[in-house]
Parts: sequence; C-alpha cells; structure tokens
Amino acid sequence: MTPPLTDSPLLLVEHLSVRLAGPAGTTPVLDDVSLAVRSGRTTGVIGESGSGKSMLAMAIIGLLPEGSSTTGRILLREEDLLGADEKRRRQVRGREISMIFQDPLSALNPSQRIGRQVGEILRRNGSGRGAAARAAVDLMAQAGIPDPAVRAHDYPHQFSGGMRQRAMIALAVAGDPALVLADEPTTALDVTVQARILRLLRALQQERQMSMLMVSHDLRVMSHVAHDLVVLYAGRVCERGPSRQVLRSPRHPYTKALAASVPAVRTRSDLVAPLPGAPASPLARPSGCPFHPRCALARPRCATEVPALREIAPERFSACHFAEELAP
Amino acid sequence: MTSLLQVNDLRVTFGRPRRPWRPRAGRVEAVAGVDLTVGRRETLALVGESGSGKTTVARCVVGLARPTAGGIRFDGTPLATRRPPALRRSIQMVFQDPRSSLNPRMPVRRIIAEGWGVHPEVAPDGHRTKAVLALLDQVGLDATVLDRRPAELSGGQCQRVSLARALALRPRLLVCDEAVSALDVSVQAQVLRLLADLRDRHDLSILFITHDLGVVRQIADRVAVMRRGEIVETAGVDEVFEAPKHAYTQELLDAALDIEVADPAEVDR
Repeated sequence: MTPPLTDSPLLLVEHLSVRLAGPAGTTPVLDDVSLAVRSGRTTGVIGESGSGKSMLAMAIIGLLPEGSSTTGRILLREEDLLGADEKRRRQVRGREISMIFQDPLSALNPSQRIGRQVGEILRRNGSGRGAAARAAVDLMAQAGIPDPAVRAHDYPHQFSGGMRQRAMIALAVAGDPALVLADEPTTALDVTVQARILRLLRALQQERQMSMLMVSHDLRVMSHVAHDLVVLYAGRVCERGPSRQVLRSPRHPYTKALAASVPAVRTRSDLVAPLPGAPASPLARPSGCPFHPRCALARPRCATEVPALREIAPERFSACHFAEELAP
Repeated sequence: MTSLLQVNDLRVTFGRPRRPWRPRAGRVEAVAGVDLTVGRRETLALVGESGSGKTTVARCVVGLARPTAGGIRFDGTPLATRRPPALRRSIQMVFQDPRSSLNPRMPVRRIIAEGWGVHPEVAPDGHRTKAVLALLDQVGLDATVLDRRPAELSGGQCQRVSLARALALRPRLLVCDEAVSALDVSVQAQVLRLLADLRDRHDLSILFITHDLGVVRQIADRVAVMRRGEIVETAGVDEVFEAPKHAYTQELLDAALDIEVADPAEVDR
C-alpha cells in the first residue's frame, strides 16, 4: 500500500496525519502524507493556502503548535522522529535538521549581532568562542554577505531583506545539517534578489551534499530548485514524482490547472480559463477527492470515494481516479 | 485625442532636512521625475522592485499622497490633492491586501454602497440592494455574501468585493496596486480574467502596479519600468519583453523565472 521509494532516502515521511487543536475541537491539516527526500537532493512541496505545506515542515522539525496530534512516521536515516523524546528532538533540530523561514526578521534575534547568532550554533556544537567567531565570518562569506568581518557586528535591522535571508541561510547551515527545510525562502524578495538566493542555495547544496525540503506556492521557483515534487491539496498528496516530469506531463487535474494558471514571462500567453472556486479549506474538506468541486474531470465517483495515491508510471504517483486519462 | 491620465515630471520627496543649512540631507526622493500616460481603455503596467517608487506614483494619482512637484492631469483637467468629487470618483483604487482595505465591521452590502453616500450622483435611483446584487454578479459573487463581513470571505472573494466597491462609483480609471499579488495562483487567474472582462465591458483604463512580469505580459498594453524613482523604459508590452532597450529591464527579465520543464539531464543535476 505504501508506494515504494527509491534508494534509501535521508528523510522518509510515511502516512503522516496531523490534527491541530482549535476552539471547536481538532482540525485535520495533513491527511496520510507520504514523501521522501533523497540525499543531496531537493524535494519541493507545492500547495496553495490551506494545503498544509507549512505544517508539514513544522511537523518534520518538531515545532507543531501545542495540542496538535500526529500519527504516522517521520524517519530520518531510519530513526523515527515522532517516537523520539523532546531531548533527542532538540538534538536533531539545528544539527541534523535546520530551517529557513520566509521572514528572516522574525526568525533572527533582533537584539543580538548577526555574527554572534551564527557563532552561537557553532559554540553549541563545541567550538571555542574565538574559533566560533571566525567560523561565523567564514559562513557569512559563504552565504554571500559582502564584508562579513564588518557585517558580523551588525544587528538584523541593519541588513536589507536579501542580506537578512543570507544571514538566515548562514544560520541554517552553521550546524552542518543533513537536511534543510526551507519555507517560502524567497517569497518576500525582489526577483533579482530571489535569483541570487536560489543560486546560493544550489551552490551550498552541492558543496555540502545537503538535502533540502522546500515548501512553496510558487511553481516557477520550484521547477528550478526541486528534483522531486510533491503537490499538496487540502492536506493530501495529489501527485508526486520527478519534478520536471510532473510539470511537463501532470497526472493530476489539480497539478495541470495549477501549472496552467502561472503566467509565462518568456512566451506570450493568453489569460487562461481559471479554476473555479477557491482552494479547499481544511476546516471544510469536501468529501471524496477534496479537489472534485473544482475539477473539470470530476464524475460522481469523485464525490464519494477518496482516491488513493498510486503508482501510475515508474516513480510517478497520482491520487486521481482517472489519472490514466491524463497520460500524454 | 489626449490621454486619460497624464503625469508630468512627478516628484515626491519624503522626510525633512534635519539641518537647514544642508537641505538635501535626510530627504529621500521616492519619485524623481516620472512621466507617464494612460490612454482611454488602455492598461499600463508600472513594474519595478520594492522601493522603486511605484506605489508612491499610484498614491499621487488617486490623491492619497501629495506630490512635491510636477503635474497630474486627468482628462485634460489638472489634479490637485484636493479634488472635486466627480474627479475623485472617476479614479478608484484596488489595494494589495483586501483584508486591510475593507472595513472589517461592515457587511459586504454596506462596503459596496458606502461610496454612494459621498457621490449621490451615481447612486442608484431605486432599490440599492438590487444595484449591489448587480455589481456582485459582475464580479462573480452572489447574494450569499451580502451580509457577510470581510473576515468570513476568502482572499479572492475579498478582492472581488474591492472591485465591486470600485465599480459602484463608475470610475474611468482603476489603479490596481499589486491587486493580485497576495492571491493563490488559481484565484489570481480568476481575478485577472475578471479585471480584463470588466475593462472591456466598462471601457476602463487601468494603471496596474506589480512586480510580477508574467502577470504584466498577460494583462498590459504598455509597460513602464521603474527604478529608484525614475522610469527607465516605456514601451508596448511585446517590445519590452522581446526587445528591451534598457539594461535594467533586461536584468529584470533575466531574473524572472518561468516554469522549467526541460529534462533535468539537459539543464542541470
């Protein structure tokens, strides 16, 4: 029933379901999500608002809000993180898994100099004060911060948006983690800055053989950084597979519509016939296939029967009853 | 035929000098001599990165910011910051964040009808609810939203209400400041389509401010590229995308991403 995943991946998420506590009982935000992140590769998780993509990252790093309940398994090198105690999870955070947030200003400590914040992680991993300070400057240089020895003495508010994101990246790689989670790392940035940050992430990944899980709503960014793609809709996986294959020939109507909704820069495209309605809210998930109210292919079966994620071609998984009809 | 909107050498300076003997220190010229025109039924996209001054230009056009120098003419009439009601009504704005630009305490029916109190000349003669419903229908909403407040609507629905509110005053120029940037892509496509329909149906001119070049290519007739308070290039949409003249336009185009579908073996990995 679990689709087999290729050569033992660094991170394996199996049948993960997450419910958050709310004023009116618990709300399901993720439902039976399975995915893999291969060593030295990037898995992209794409979804619109309410898809649960950020909660997925939070579940992996172990920072879900209090009162949430989780079932399934999150395996890091075959160790189940959901079964680990808080002490072990804290060890994993920062050293083995670190995170880059969309808004670096709220993730950086505003009252501490940047160099010190980067150095703090190195100190925790056993470096001496002087060595940590020097290594922090090196890391800032690697993250592309000009004049790092001087800028290390600056506070976050003295950095521009792009520089803050570079500082955030320096912080994320400081513990030499095996896996970096990135939640919309370039969404708040201008395009020219975005291009530089994406180049930096790719270079760091190659240099350090880091694995990445990137969460985004932006298919354009995703297609340039992700090796594997996971498409989430209303907390469920619609489609999964090698990124460019998925984008070239989507096997789920949602992926297809999503890709068609992105306006092209390099070719002239007419306004597309948009999907009707809004993304399904996890609070009111439609019955059967959660996408069926917006789907052009929907038939009576879609409203009653939840489609299982199944392998429809080598490495390609789709959760559509009629995935075969979308074959090229 | 003159353009509907003409902006000549617009300048906006923020801040005041801390030392009177150095009048330029401490002042930021957000808009440093901008010229642009928007023709009748034309969509002009104003693009640029954050801090380029594009929003300040928009705010001057609708009268929310005071120009330091330069002139704005609407249909031949010079616009000051204080404007006669007919002129104010003719230029309406749609903001980026629909949640903060709609009054959270008002139900949709009041949000849309509110402007009629200020501009009775365009208020419907008969039943107001009927007129509100007709407007909602034009933006793809139905009677179920009439008594809801913005918090009970999705982002896309809120943006449709913003559009209905603007249309209620029968404007001739719509200023959209990143009006679709905060929406999910599937909803963004709906609102863009709606905007194009409304433009054709109501003979609207649109000043469309955005940083998203893909959106520009789909909706604009002409494009003005702004950097550090100045317009570096203005041209027809195809010209800007296919044969940009200014190095900065080229830089923006190079940095913009499209969905890459080529086989990874051909591209990287």
